[in-house]
Amino acid sequence: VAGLATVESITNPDAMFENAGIKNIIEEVTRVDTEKKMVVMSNGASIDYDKVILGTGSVPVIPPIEGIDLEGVLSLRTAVDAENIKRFMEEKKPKNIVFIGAGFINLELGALLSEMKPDYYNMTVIEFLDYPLPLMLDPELAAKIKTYLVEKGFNMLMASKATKILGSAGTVKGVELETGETIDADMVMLSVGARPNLELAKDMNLELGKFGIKVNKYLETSNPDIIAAGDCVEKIHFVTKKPAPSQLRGPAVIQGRLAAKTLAGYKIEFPGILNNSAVRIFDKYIAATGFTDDQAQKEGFEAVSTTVDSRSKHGMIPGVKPWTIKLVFDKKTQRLIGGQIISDSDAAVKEIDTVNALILGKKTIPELTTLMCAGNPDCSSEPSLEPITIAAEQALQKLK
Amino acid sequence: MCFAPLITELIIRGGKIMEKGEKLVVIGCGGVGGPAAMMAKKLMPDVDVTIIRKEDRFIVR
Repeated sequence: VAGLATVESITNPDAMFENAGIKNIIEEVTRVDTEKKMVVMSNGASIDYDKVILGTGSVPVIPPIEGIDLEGVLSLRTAVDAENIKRFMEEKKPKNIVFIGAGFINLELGALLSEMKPDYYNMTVIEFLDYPLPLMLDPELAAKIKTYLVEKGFNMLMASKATKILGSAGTVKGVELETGETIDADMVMLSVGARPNLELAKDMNLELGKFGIKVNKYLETSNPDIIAAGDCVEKIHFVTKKPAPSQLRGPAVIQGRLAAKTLAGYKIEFPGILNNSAVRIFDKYIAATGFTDDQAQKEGFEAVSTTVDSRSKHGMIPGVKPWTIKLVFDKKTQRLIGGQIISDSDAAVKEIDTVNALILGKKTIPELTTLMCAGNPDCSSEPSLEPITIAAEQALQKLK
Repeated sequence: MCFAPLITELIIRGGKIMEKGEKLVVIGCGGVGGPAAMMAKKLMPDVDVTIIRKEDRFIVR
């Protein structure tokens, strides 16, 4: 959308599949006849199968707001969506952009557009909850991002509800809030979540759960010849072992490859999701995995949390940048169950993968007080400031 | 001594594995479909793999 990369550069060429000996058909699947074991397409053609991998993905949640069909009300999920947004912006040259939802797609898009045309746009973010990035951050860390975006010129309307999208001659002109206030808008970006695309699965009578197609640990559905993976399936959360929603690219790719391994005979279990994710907003890199403190408490955990400031290099090295990590532990088991990072360094933010691995390894507060990390003046904090260890030590004190 | 065949044997399931000439159809080519098809062909080169997708370009890296 920002023009930093072409669609071709972010998609895989068909030749990659053809060269690998994979047939590639561009057609909509309208039906899967599970009795005849046949996939039927919109052009009337059909193809027999022995096994199917179903990866129908997800679709954006469209809130029931009046005016949603106006020209200039857009959402971003696929490369096609990105092309539509780019085309609209080139033709209409919107200046007032309203984002409904303060999740990572909207905030990243807003920041990228602002970077391309500094001081040009009037950006407004409307979020129903009290703070931005509610799926990634606890309120006190999210408040820093809100302040940062305000400093960048964003109008951050938290705890606000859009009730109507206003238009003229079929085109968006503004957004009305629950308070009656109206915000001028030449373009509205909707991003309030995604839901699994279950049309085919329902038609195939596959067993469904609350959050998508029900699969076992090997991604097998209720039909022995159908494997399903990605956004369309219900995931199990690694910590709670309960069904959980998840529509992220990382689990989709890993589940796609796991589906193939299952069909090839490997018995490898999908471990469950932690919904680890990362986003860049201007010069801030944000990442999270597992539960926030808020989410942990809603799940019934008595959470113990600690926040530690660190730096990307040793203090005396030029270019050193600050970063902050928050770890969330379950007081009862003392296990690590979540982490959040806000960083000015693109390298430090990837420490979230360490946190992720430690959660998967079921590490506890005492165990993490002896964590030893690779250290070098140019690429890490001083060993005495290693933040995961310090966060665990602080949590140890809180247990007393 | 090489333990690789033993380990491989241990992780292989008792259930039916797709066999030579069988047909695998992958529906959708986003985060799941592309990686699934490529991995399937890599692990089971004798299986006939077909991807069907609606979008002209919907293959996320």
